[in-house]
Amino acid sequence: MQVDGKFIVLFGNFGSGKSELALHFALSAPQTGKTALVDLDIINPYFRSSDRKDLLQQHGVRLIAPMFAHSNVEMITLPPDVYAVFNGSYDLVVFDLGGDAAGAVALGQYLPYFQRLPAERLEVYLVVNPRRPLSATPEQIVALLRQMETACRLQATGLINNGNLSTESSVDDLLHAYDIIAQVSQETGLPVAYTAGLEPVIAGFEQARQEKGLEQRYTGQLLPLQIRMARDWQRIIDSNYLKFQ
Amino acid sequence: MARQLLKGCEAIAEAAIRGGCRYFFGYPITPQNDIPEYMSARLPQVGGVFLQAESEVAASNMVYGAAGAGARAMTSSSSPGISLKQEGLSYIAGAELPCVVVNIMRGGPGLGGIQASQGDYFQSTKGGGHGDYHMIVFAPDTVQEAVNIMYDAFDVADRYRNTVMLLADGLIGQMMEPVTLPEFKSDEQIQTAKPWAATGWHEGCGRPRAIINSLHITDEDLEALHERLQATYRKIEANEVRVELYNVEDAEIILVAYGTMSRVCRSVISELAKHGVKAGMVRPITLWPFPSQAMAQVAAAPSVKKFLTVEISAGQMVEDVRLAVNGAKPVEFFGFPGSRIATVDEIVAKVLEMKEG
Repeated sequence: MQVDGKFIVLFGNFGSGKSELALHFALSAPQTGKTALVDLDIINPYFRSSDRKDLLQQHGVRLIAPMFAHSNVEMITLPPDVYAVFNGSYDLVVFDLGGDAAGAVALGQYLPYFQRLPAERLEVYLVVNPRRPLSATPEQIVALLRQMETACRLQATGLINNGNLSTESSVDDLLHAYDIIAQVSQETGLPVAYTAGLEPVIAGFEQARQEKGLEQRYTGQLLPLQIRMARDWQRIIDSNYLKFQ
Repeated sequence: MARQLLKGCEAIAEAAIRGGCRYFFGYPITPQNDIPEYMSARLPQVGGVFLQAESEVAASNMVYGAAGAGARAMTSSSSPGISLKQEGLSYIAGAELPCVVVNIMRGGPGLGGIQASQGDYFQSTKGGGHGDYHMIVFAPDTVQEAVNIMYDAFDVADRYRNTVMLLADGLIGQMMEPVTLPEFKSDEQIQTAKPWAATGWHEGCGRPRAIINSLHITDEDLEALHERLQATYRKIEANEVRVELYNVEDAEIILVAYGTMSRVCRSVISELAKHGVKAGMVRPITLWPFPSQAMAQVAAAPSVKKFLTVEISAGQMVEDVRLAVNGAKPVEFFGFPGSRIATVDEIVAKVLEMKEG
């Protein structure tokens, strides 16, 4: 098997922002028609990356999702065409897993395929949002990481700081998460690959990074995000998206 | 407490515990599964009991038993599961017991579908089970409001010895929003006096035997039960109605909606303003008792020309709106049965058409 492409696997506590990040990575890639997003969420009936099927198609991203995703039945089945992403024809493959260990388990069966990838082509990120109650402390996050690694049979290669309060997100959320994720990084030896957030929040964080002298190794690359998972009924609060402190 | 990002179902479960829930009996069904899952992990940490019953019928009868013993007990389910629970709910009403039930609505009838719906309005407000009773039904529009309602739900249930239902469409259960959780209620706050509870009678215990029963042998006994129930319902109607009036001053069009649909309607009102149409909304927070008085007052305002009720159903609450408005102004309906949520643009178009008509 010859693989030139990159594989990004996102796991984390549910509500950590995996789907938003998965959409970001898939939609930021060059529109070569050689990008795939695999929605392996077996937990959530609603609010999943495959809700944005049309958007992905417009960008030439192949969406691979359970046949019944976003339909009126709930079947914990995995799509057969997942195997196709390992055939070497993709430049970028993003795996969006369901939350917690229960969601990460869906990936386990693909271990033999991941094992055949050169290590430098596989990036496995733990997405961290300490504003979620079960991933609020370094201890909880490390415990969650170990449970999820066991469940999905892959070792994380990095951390993503995605500290946020949805529509009320602020620079404070990322700074709060910075302190926590730095401890997780020290304890696990995992680098912080990205700090992600809405564009104005990231701009504020960039400024704080300079003012407070935050360490690059605990911020990683800054990743400004657009919100793509919002629904029509949220239009009323859209205006609040831009109100940041 | 700091703001946290919580999923509706998780927030409902945590708020129930902080409000005193110590017993949960349930059975899995989408889209409410996050409630029993959360309860199964969380209740043992606070000395409570989580039990997955063999069926929904069993779960509601376990609530009946626990409530009869004076415990703060609850169950949750989604539409088809709530249908199955009706036996227990009717018996609980017949035995005058307090308990809390959460219905995270999905599409119906039958197994329907797993997407969000508001098809259970009739079931929740008009009985559900047999026998001329009412539940107090709350309908939150945000995760925070769901938290606030759940936090006090057991107090309200205990106050009237009546079932309280939190009725939310699947989106409220599944969405994540920033919330502030309240502090735990103290033991004194949650251990309300329940002299009627079957807690074990013995000589000299200072109370008559407590008999928890919904079978009333004589006509007179049954009539006496109904007199007590009706007196309770009148008190609930007098004290517990909750409603939000949004932008109703000088409005010519009044939208009526609850839950997620009311969020869409807020956007509709902003859009209509751009068209020069002044619209407002009456948002019932209690579906029973229905805010009929507030609705009638709004209907009496000279500026108000028409009402439009919007639901994720074929039109259920609209009947209560018509009864409340009582012919003072025309009441129209917009919405779709199943799980199709009317969009902002569709509702705006409907209002503009009504204005011309």
